[in-house]
Amino acid sequence: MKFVRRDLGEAGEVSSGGGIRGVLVETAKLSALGVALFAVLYFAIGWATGFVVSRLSVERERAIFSVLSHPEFASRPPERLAPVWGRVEAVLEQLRSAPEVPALDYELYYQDHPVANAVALPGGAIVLTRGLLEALADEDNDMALAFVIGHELGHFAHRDHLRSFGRAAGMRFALFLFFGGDLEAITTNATQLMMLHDSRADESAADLFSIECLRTVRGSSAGAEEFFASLLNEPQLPRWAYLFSTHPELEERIRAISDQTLPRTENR
Amino acid sequence: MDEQTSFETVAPFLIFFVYALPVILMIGGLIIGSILESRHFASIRSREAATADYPAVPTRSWDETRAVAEVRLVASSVVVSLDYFKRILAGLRNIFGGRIRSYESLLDRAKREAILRLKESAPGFDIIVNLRVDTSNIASVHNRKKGIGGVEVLASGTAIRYERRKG
Amino acid sequence: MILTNIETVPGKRIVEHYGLVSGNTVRAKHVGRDIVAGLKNIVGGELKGYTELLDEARNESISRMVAQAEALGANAVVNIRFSTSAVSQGAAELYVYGTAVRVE
Repeated sequence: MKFVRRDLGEAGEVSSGGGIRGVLVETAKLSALGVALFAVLYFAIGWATGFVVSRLSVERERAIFSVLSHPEFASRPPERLAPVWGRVEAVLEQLRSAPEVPALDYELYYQDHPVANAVALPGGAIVLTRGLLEALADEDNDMALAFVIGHELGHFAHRDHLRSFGRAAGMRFALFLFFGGDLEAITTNATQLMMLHDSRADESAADLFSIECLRTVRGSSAGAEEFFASLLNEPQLPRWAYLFSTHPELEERIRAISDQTLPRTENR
Repeated sequence: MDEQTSFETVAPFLIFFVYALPVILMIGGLIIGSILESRHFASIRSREAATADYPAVPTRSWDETRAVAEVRLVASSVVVSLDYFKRILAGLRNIFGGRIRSYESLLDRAKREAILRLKESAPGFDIIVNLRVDTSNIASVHNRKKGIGGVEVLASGTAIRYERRKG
Repeated sequence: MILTNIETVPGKRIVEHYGLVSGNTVRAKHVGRDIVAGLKNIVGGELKGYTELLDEARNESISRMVAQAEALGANAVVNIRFSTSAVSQGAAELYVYGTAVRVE
C-alpha cells in the first residue's frame, strides 16, 4: 500500500473550537439560559413554598419540627450574659400570651457572634447572637429587647421562617438536582441569596407586628425607635454589603416604624 | 465593641475571597487559557506540516514493495486539563445538554499532540501502523470535589523504517 | 464513501492511502435525561435517552471523519475504530478514526 501525501486543509480544524470569541458566545448563550432557568426555579419554588406553608397549620408545624433540636447553637449564653438572658426569657413569656402570637413551643438559643442579629427557625427556635445580647444588656433598654423578641414572633406569626426555610431547602434541592453537587460554591451562594433577598418586606412587616404586639401586651411601643437609633450610631457595613445581609438598612426600617408610631403618639 | 469593629474591617476581604476571587480566577483562566490554546494549535499545525510525509495510520499494512530496515513499538501520552472558566461552562452545558466545544478543542489538541509525539519518538522512520488512540479520565473519580478534570490521551503504534534505496 | 473496520474493502483493491482521518465530538446529556436515567437505574435496563445521545454523537463524529477523507480525495476509509470515553462528569467523547484510502 503506497502512501501519497495530501493536505487536509480546513477539514483538519473542525474540532479546534472558535477561539476566545467562540467561548464568549457560548458563555453568553449559556448564562442567558441559566438566568432564565434560575428565574423560573425562583418563582416556582417561591410559589410552591407559599402554597405548602399556607396549608401548614401551626399545630402541624409544631408536630413536624418539634423533633428539631439545634445542636449547632448553645442553649445558654456564658455567665456574664445571664442577667440579660433572664430578661429575654421573661419578655418571651410575656409576649407569647398575646392572642396574635402563634402557639409554638418557643425555645431560645445563643450564638457566639459579634454582629447583633436574631433568627427565627421552624418549630419556634429563636437564635440570639452575642452582639445583640450585649447591645441589649442595658436595663433601660427593656422596650428595645421586647421589640426584638416581638419582631421574631412576628416572623413566626407571618410564617416567614417557614417560607425562607422552604425556599432555601427547595433551591438547594433543585440546584443539587441540576448540578449534581458540582459547582458547590455557586449553589451555596445562590441558595443564600435566595434566602436573604426576599426578606426585606418581611422584616418591615415583622417590625410592625412587634409594635402591635407591644401595644396589646404593654399598652405602648415607645422606645423601639430609640433602640434603632442607638444601633445606628454604631459602625455600619458599607452600603453595598447590604446586598449580602438579611436585614434591610436600619434607616429604612426606622422610617417605617416612625410612620406607624408617631401619629398615634401625637394623638395621645 | 472591638471585635465588632474588627469584623467589619475584615468583612470586605471576606466578601472579596468569596465572590471576587472565583471571578478573577475565571477571567484569568479564560484569557491565559485561550492564549496558550492558540499558541499550541499554531505549534501543532507547523509540526504537522513538517511531518506530513510520515503518516500514522490505524491500518496494519505498509508498502511491501520496500525492504524493512527497522521496526519499533512507539507509545506516547498527553495529559491535559480544562481551564476554570470552561469547566464552569461545561458544568452549565450539563444542564441543557449539547456539544461542549471547549472539550472538543481540548481533546483535539491532545490527540494531535500525542500523535505528533509518537512520530517524534521515532525520528527518521517512514510510517507508523496499527495506530491506536485511547482517551481516559484520570481525575480521581471517587472524590469529585478534588477532581482536576485531567484527561489522558495515549497513542501507540508500530513504527517502520524502510531500507533506503541506493543511489 | 465506503467505510469498513477491516484492513481492506472486500472486492476492491486499495491503490494508495492518504494517512489518518478522524472526527471527535463531546456531548453533554441534559438534566431531563439525567433524571429519567436516574429513575431507570433503579430497575435497570436500557437507558434509551443515553443510547440516542451517543448515537447522535457518533454520527456527528463519523461525518467529521468523512469530511476529512473527502478533503483528501479518498473514496474509502478502512480500519475504522471507535473510542468512547467519559471526559468529565456527564460528558462523553466519541472519537472515531481510520485510514483514508483510494480503492478501485
